[in-house]
Amino acid sequence: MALPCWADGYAYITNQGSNDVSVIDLKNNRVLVNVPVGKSPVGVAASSKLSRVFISNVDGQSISVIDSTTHKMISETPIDGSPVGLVLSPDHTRLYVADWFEDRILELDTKNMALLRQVKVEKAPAGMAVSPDGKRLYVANRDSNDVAIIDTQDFHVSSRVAVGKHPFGIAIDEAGDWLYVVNVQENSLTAISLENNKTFTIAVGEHPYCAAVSPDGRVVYVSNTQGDSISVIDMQHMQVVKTIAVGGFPEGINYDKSTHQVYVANWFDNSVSVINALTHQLVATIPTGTQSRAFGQFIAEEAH
Amino acid sequence: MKRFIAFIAIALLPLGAAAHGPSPQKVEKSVTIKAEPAKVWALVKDFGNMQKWHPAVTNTKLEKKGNDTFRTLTLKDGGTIYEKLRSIDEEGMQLKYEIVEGAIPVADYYSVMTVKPGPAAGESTVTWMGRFYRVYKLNPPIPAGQDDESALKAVNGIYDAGLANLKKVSEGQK
Repeated sequence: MALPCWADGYAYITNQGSNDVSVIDLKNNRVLVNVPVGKSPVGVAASSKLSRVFISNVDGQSISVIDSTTHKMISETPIDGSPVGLVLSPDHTRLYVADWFEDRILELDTKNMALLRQVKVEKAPAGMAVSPDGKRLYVANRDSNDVAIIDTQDFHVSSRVAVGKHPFGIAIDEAGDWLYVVNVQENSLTAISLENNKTFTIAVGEHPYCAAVSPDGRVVYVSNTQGDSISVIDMQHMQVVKTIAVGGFPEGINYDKSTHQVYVANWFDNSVSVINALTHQLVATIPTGTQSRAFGQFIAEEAH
Repeated sequence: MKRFIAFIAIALLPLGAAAHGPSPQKVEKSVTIKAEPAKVWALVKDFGNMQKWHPAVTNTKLEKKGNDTFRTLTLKDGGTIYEKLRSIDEEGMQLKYEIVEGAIPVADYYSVMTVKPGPAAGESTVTWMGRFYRVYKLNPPIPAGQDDESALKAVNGIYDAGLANLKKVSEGQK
């Protein structure tokens, strides 16, 4: 069965070591250009709707904005803190920024990067996800081992759900029914059923960082940084069904809907591994900048 | 090696994997040794005897706690480093370990040492890789000695001195 390759999609890979973003053309899995941004870029949130890609520069303490029609950085907004995790509201009018050291979430207006609101969360907020209706923002608190659920109407923390040790990456399924939280120091994934906040723990590989969900919600992919592998979890049985060897220290991971491929950035190998989601085979390795991380939604798709 | 010893002056730092900053640093060094891989691997994998090849280590004390293996390295200038063995892969000739606490200005330090045959017959290539964070866990301004540069300097010094001496010892000179 031939895979439809009709999407004009790109993947934006933040290279923490080379202070730039590798733009991968998903049609041919080649790097089109490397866009210089701020110092130590880590987080990314790509919007095809806005033609903008937002990048968090951890050591530069700023957010870079890339125009995805020209693939050039058009602005760099200073942040009085250490911005790492980024996520867009479903309508892409808001950018949420997790300030790692100041223990707070900032809400920016994506039109002009103005700071609108902020809320304190404890402690060391890392990965984030938003419910499909935009009403709830989920934040993994790495140093308090829980997830904060923020009500976006009044921007306050409405509840917290305890997860495993040192949660970092987070992912939500398309329906908004399940939240997946990666527990780095427990080598596990916590699956939270969002209707009742009931949690289930699934063992994965060594020192896992991030997760991605298949569009039908049946499969969750977790990157194991010290195992140099991806754990493939069958959510119907809540267990790992395959472990795929990828590059050194895999971190940020996304599912590309248009080609049914999973992309993961390898921090140590300075590359991106591409996995065919139907066969679960490694199909390509793309050299990128140094210390690639791609933490967040790094694939922007523009379907014809 | 003088630069490395200078950092021993810092008091014992608890480097437990509790908290760290968001930008990990990476050091990767390699050396080619004119000795068979098996001979070099024998030295590298001997977790309880690092003093046999690292010039900054005077003594290694091995201990087992349940299923885990730890070592305490006593350093020439008096500091110590407490490390946990993560794995030994005989087939791949790869050793993985992490620092629990010690007199080096790093946090959450994880390291991999690999021995490979070649490039020429009778030769080995050793690669030493480290991933770690700076000590200072808050926003800048960062106090001297707790920044990324200090962490990188320390680890580079350890790796350079270590690999150079591992080569000497393996090749039979010392």
